[in-house]
Amino acid sequence: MKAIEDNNGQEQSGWALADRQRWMGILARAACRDLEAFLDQLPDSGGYDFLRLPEIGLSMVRGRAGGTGDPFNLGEMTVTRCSLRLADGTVGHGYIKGRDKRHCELAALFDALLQRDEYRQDLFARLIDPLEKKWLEKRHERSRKAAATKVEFYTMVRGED
Amino acid sequence: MKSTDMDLKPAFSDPVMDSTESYRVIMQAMAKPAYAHEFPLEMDVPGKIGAAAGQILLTMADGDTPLWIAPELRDSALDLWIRFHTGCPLVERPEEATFVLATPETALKQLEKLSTGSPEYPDRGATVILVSKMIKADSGPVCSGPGFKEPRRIDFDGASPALWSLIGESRMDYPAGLDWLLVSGQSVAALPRSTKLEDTTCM
Repeated sequence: MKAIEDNNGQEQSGWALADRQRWMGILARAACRDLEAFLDQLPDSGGYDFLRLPEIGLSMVRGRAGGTGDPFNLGEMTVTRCSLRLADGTVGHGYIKGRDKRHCELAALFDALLQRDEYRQDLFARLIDPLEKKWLEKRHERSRKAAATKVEFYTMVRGED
Repeated sequence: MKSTDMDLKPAFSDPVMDSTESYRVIMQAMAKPAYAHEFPLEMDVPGKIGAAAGQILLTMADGDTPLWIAPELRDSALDLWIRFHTGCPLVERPEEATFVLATPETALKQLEKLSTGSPEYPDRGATVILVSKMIKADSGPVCSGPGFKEPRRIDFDGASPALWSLIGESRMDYPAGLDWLLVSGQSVAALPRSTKLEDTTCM
């Protein structure tokens, strides 16, 4: 992790935008019960206030056929978002698919904690990396099961005469 | 991003009920113009605009209502707060704005350019939220029109004959025109374009 400059030209220490995108994605894909279980092991973070209570809405998912076609609206999906602020002023945002408000709240809380230098390393080691591993295994398992059902089609050359 | 985030303050603690309550105050203010109505909810709004202006924006502004803020009211914490909680675009030119946050001083210089709508589309006229130190009821022009049982007077700190005539002129092309919300702390008094102002020159 390296320090980067954000759009305002201010230096952020400790984490880069890409890191945050990664951990927010992992938190969003994690199961709520895993986050909840981890919360109990966490040293006291001093509480937090909501800036935006968890709220459920829709987000348009856009697609592009074959990676080269024109973008089209694939459909809307349910999204829950939430923002909160730790006692020291750090702001965390959570955006998850579905309508689990508690999951969203926890995602925002961990997003805020991960921005703080004293929590980041520990959280990466004990929460983010294991969650990512778990998610990758699950995805691999699914694609392996799907791959097992693959059927090879081929067509014999058909002579008309 | 990280450092400016630190300045972000919360808005309504119960968005649905609080904005409903605030909407009611604004509606009452428009229905009974030139009269100071109080917002019951106290709120810590960043910058110098006060709780009433903050609640009006939280209730009325959204992604479809461009907002122009007068330079002397601009404040990075306020910009961030408005963008985060309302999602409304902040524009650089007053003529593009649906809502305008101004003080009596800027109102005179900048507001001639505001969109007043047209007879076909009077709804495109802008709403000016005028931030002043105090709203007064014992001086100023005599107001009458829809919503008045009998004429009332309204005045505010920083008002000048030139500004009153600008406010008066903004309703000459009725139904096109500007709506004005005078705010000060927790109070709001409306001057919708239907309100007639008399005596705007001799104060």
